[in-house]
Amino acid sequence: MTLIERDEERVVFSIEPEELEALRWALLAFPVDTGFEFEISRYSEGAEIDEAQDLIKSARDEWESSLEQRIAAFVEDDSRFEAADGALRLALSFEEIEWLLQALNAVRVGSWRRLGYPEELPEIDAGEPDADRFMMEVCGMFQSSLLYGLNPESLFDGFEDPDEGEDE
Amino acid sequence: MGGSTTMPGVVPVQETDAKSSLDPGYLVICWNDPVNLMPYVTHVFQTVFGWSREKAKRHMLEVHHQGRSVLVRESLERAEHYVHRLQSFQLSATLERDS
Repeated sequence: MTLIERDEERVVFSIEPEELEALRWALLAFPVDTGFEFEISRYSEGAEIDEAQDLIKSARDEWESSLEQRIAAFVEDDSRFEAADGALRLALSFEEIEWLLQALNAVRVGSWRRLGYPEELPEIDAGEPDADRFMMEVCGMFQSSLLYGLNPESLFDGFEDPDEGEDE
Repeated sequence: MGGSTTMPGVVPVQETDAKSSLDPGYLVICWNDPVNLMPYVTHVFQTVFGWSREKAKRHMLEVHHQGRSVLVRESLERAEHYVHRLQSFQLSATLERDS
């Protein structure tokens, strides 16, 4: 998936048909059910913490259901993808990029949990790739493309320290 | 002065509860994990808190190098909101009472 252009309202990518198939495959894996539940607090206890935990779980269930609906509408809408020079042209609003990033990252992290929460990611066996490990790579690739579309400087995160003393 | 008077038709405010939910006594902390991409974490901090890219990146690097970063200190209600947002982006975030 390659960035073509960006303006104040949208980001336009070129995507190969095979990539589109992979994107749909990754998105339709949402949600990855691993039985995992985030904890709201590591050290604090009490009724207010328990109540907050319940509230957040309920909000997350709602969010998950809404995201599933958006994904279903997105993958079924062929009109979004215009044929252009052997590839396809995909225009995304900033809001769409946000929820696509969330969905892809949820699948990436869910796949990682299914692998057993490894500290070091195992190498991908090119001959017989593990489906979860491969899914992580696919999601990561699309996430990187979308982040690059939002801000090309994002490629360099992790390789430099920002200026110190700014605006905190 | 002193003590409290309940006016007819007025429900007295539950002072303890109101105080505990509004006091900015909760830290929102993001913990390191080996799975979230660094540019993604920076992006999430910008989106959730409206921070500049530099500030978001500084906190991302703090999470990466030190294992955690205290992002904000807020009331319980606001802290819940931020933890929910961060967790919906799959970041490992918690709220802790600031004692």
